Amino acid sequence: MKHLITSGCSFTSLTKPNIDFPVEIEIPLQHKRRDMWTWVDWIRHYNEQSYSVYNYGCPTNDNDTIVESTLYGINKLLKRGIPSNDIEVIIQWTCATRNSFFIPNGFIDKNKIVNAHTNDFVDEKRFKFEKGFKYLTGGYNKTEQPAELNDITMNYLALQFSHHERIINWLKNIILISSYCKSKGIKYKFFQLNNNISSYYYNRFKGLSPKQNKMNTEPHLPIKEDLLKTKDIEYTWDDTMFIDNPYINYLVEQIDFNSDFWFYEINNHHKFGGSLEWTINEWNDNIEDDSGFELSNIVYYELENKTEEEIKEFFRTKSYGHPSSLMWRKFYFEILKPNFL
Amino acid sequence: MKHIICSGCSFTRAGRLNINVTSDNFLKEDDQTGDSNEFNYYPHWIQTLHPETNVINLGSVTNDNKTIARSIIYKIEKLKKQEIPLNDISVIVQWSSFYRNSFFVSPSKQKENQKLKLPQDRGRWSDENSHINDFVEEKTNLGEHGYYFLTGGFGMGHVKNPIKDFAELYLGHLHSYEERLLSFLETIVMLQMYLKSNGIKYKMFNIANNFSDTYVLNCINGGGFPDFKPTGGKRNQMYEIIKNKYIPNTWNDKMEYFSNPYLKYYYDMIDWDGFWFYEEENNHKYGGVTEWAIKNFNINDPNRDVNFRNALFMEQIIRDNKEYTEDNLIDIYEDWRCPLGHVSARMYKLFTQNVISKWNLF
Repeated sequence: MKHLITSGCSFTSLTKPNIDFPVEIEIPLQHKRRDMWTWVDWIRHYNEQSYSVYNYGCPTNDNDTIVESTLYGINKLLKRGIPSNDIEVIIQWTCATRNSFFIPNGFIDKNKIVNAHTNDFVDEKRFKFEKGFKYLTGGYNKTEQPAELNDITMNYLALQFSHHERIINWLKNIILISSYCKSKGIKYKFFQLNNNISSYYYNRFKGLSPKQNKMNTEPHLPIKEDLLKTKDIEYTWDDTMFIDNPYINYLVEQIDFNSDFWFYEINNHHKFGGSLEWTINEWNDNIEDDSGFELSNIVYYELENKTEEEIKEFFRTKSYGHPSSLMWRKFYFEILKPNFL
Repeated sequence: MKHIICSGCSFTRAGRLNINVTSDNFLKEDDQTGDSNEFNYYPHWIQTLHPETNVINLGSVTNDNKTIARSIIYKIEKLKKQEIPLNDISVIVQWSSFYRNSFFVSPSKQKENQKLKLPQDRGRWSDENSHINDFVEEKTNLGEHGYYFLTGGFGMGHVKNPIKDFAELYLGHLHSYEERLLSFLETIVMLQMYLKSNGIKYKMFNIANNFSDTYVLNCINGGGFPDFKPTGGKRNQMYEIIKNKYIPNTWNDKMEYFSNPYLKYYYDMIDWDGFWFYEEENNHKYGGVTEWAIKNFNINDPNRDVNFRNALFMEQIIRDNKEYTEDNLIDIYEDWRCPLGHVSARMYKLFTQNVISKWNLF
């Protein structure tokens, strides 16, 4: 039996680890709404005999917390005496622009803290947030959290946030988890939510003020009513990686992007794509569902039971959604099974 | 030739790396400070006591641990490009106080706010670029590729850079010993993994005790250090340090903060064999070079190097031709000050001879 640790953001789990569900106790999949299944659930479904799966994915996660929760999960398995060569790791990196802050217990009045933008992934606790929690910036939206937490996010965004420092931080995370896995002989593989690498996405960015559109910090597929027909994902074929800067370059050089990552590529058009670009480009209205679960053929989870006009409205106003259960199943068969397991 | 990379804060170098000092010319540069050779830190002594090696000094004042680690990795990647064999490289890391932090100020942020641009004054003792580390070599102008703003001990009253507004906000709303330890432990793990995966020998030591409860739980106090005198003691801290070689007793500290599961898994991942600690049975565990220096300072040492001040700390300067005696060292101490200073050149020579030279790095 192999032990698979997965982590990522809401593309990996739409619920919170060790808050909404226990990570170490595998709740039977039939108890989970099938329209909310992600790629992890399809791995569990088709590999019940060969893999125990520990999913640390959490909505709004940043890459710091993704790595921290993965290392926490590995450490738990090693302490249980699981041999490291029986452990595998798959990470879905989220938007490089996100950040998080550790808030210790007692720092903020616990009666005022709500679940939004939090991750409390440890299980050694009697009650939620007992040992502290990660406060997640996500896309830097104002939340229902106490004012002091919102102030931190907004001031950070105005005074400190930059693509440079976020890229440095993400690269640090990649180096940390990959070198740790290598040192322990743990098999690992990564993919991204969306393209975080092509220089296009950083070069088109022209600065940020607190009042500016938050879209500058989140995935950026074109907002177009007919995107599903035109599928005009950005041209990145000739782009360089990231931003040319010596504070970034020495970190990039240490990462084996060829063997450690899966990228979605459209020949002569798009390089360094993630699951989002794959989803848009690979969706069509004839996807076969032989799962036996009667899954809807929709591109995004959010479009379940939506009318044609509502779907148009979605694409007119939103830059992305979460791949539907059917699309994640397709992703499992076409990408994960041949490349990751 | 063996290349010994040293990095740390002002306990490794009295200068700002690639702002007003370089990593490879430190013997000459430090002799031009106008204060003779009192800035001979351990990298100095490694170079002079082991002339067969090439010491690369990446130390930079006010450094936090994240910047210390990143500057080391940056330099090693440079050496790799010069095709220096990795087994010809060794690394000595002097970790700074765990409660420090740093923030990267990018070129794009500087465009948004022109006041974030760095003054171009590279004077050795200029205050213009205090709390700054700009360790990359590929630059014409300071900060052109960005820079790290260093919080140091958060004494930022003299700093003009407006990023300090964020640093102060961070201090008020986010800074805690838990999140600083989380960052420190992550930095240690990352650097250890990097060095191991490259087959590079290394040793790490602390500026002072960074792990025992007695110290960690004191970080929220202004100085960041516990009292260096017995509870209820009538004498001042310098008297206790000089006369009684007093250091806090940490022998039975339980390191309770590591029971927090957000910290424990990182703690478990650290290879503690990669560390040197000052330890004294039944008195002190997890000590750093400061505790070692206090315990090993003997003003009457007949074999001491007489070319250097007979002082424990660099800041202890006895003027008016007075002798360096224990009483005089205590007399010049002012009660309101932190009793701890930078380890003196004379003590760093001993530390290099008696501790560093025994590490399997040369």
